[in-house]
Amino acid sequence: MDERLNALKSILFALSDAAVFLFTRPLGILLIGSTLLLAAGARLWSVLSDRRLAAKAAGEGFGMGAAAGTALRELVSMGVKAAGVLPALAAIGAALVLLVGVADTTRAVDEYVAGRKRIAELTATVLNLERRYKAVEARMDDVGGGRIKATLSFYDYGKPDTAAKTQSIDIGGKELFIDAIVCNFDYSEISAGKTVNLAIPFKVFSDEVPEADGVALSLLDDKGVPLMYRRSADELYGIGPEVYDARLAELMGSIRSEEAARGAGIVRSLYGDAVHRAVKTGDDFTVWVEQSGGLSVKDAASF
Amino acid sequence: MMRRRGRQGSPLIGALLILASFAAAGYFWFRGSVSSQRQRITYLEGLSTRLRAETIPLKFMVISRDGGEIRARVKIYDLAGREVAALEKAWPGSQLYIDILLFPIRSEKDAGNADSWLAFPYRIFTDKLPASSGTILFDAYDDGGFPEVLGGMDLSAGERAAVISSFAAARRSAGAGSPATEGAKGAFGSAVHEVSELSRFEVGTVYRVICRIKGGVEIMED
Repeated sequence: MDERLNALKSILFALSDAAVFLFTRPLGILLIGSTLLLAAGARLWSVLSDRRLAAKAAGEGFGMGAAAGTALRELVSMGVKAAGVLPALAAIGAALVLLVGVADTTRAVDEYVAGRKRIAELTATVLNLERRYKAVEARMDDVGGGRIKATLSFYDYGKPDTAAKTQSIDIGGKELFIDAIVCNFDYSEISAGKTVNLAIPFKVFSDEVPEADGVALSLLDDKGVPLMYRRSADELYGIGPEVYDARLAELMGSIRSEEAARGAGIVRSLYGDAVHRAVKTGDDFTVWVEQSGGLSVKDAASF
Repeated sequence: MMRRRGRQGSPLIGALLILASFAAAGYFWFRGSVSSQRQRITYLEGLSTRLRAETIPLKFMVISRDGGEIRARVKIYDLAGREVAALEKAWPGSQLYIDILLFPIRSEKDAGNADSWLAFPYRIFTDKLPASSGTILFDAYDDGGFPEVLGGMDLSAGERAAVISSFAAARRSAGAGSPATEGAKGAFGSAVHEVSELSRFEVGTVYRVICRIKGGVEIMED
């Protein structure tokens, strides 16, 4: 059906383009004008030849004056005939205008439909890439005397309103580092809504305490899957708990092994990212996982 | 006969003209719709491009890992990709941290709500070397107060002054031995690094640090 429609459209567009060319472009008008002039010239030539032969046969002379008179009469005759077919010419003109209008409207409809599709694709891409989810919220309970006492709340992208777990930390320094493993997937996977970039916080350290001596965050269960990504059976929709667990373990396998991730062909980059801020008592900031890649930190009150 | 033919032709021409008028009206309506659609597409494409706007201010290569030290070569680039500084050094530890300072592009009042940032390569430290003892990179690309990492593009006098001011605030804090993030409300650091159990920087491989105006920092093989 589509093929037939496209074939019809091709014919319509070809006729429309030809009409537009012939009647609106200078070259087209020149072509039509030349053709009409040639036809009129040929007609005149034919009439004059006939008249000359007839005059010769009758033994009469056929001078310049007689030729001019004959040509003029023929031209007037042609004008009268043209006036006679004027309604038909007007009908042809109207039909051509209609043809061009239908063709242009069809083109506009095609462009509109293609545009709607493009908008849908771009909107999905922008929405998915603009999306971010909250990974960690850090509240500074007491900062002073070279120590930071804070409460960290960890969130799952599926449940942004409830912390999956909280943990209190006490560490030396004045700048708090929240270290996470970041797994950025291909844009196409994100824009198609198939997955989201992941961040798994695993350690806290400071400007004074190196990562090796930092505080480990116990967020992994016995299968090595972050608690925040676990789901109970009644929280799952459209997928069985066993399948979900298997897929999650597979995904975490990709995160744990860069080789496996590359083999799967979906992970764009895998690395650690320790986001940090100088802190003071009462500060409350949030670590966000950006779907364009990486992490960002914003005041908790900003959202 | 001629008269009858003329009477039959007139309704046909009229019908054709009416149809042509409808076609013309439909055509102009669709042209209007397509025009507004084009504007939306342009906006979305621009937005999409902006979201993905990224710079590569720094590239590095691990040269060796010996005796509990990691030696690396770091190069810093401006926005046009011109190398503005290079550094080669060894640091104690096994995991290299490349720290980028992200400075909010907002007024002081709205800085906590910023959604775009300027990226300044800040310092290098390791898993064994605390950040406060790391190598500060600001001096390497300071050109009379202007951070050369933001060179290579046309800046207005006002923009240039704002960049210099932001950089000076970060430098003041770092120079005073305080975290550079103390120098500006809403600023934060992003120290991207290898994770020994998962992904190590391979010796001899060049990695680039990608900074997005939206705030994310990412490491990828060059």
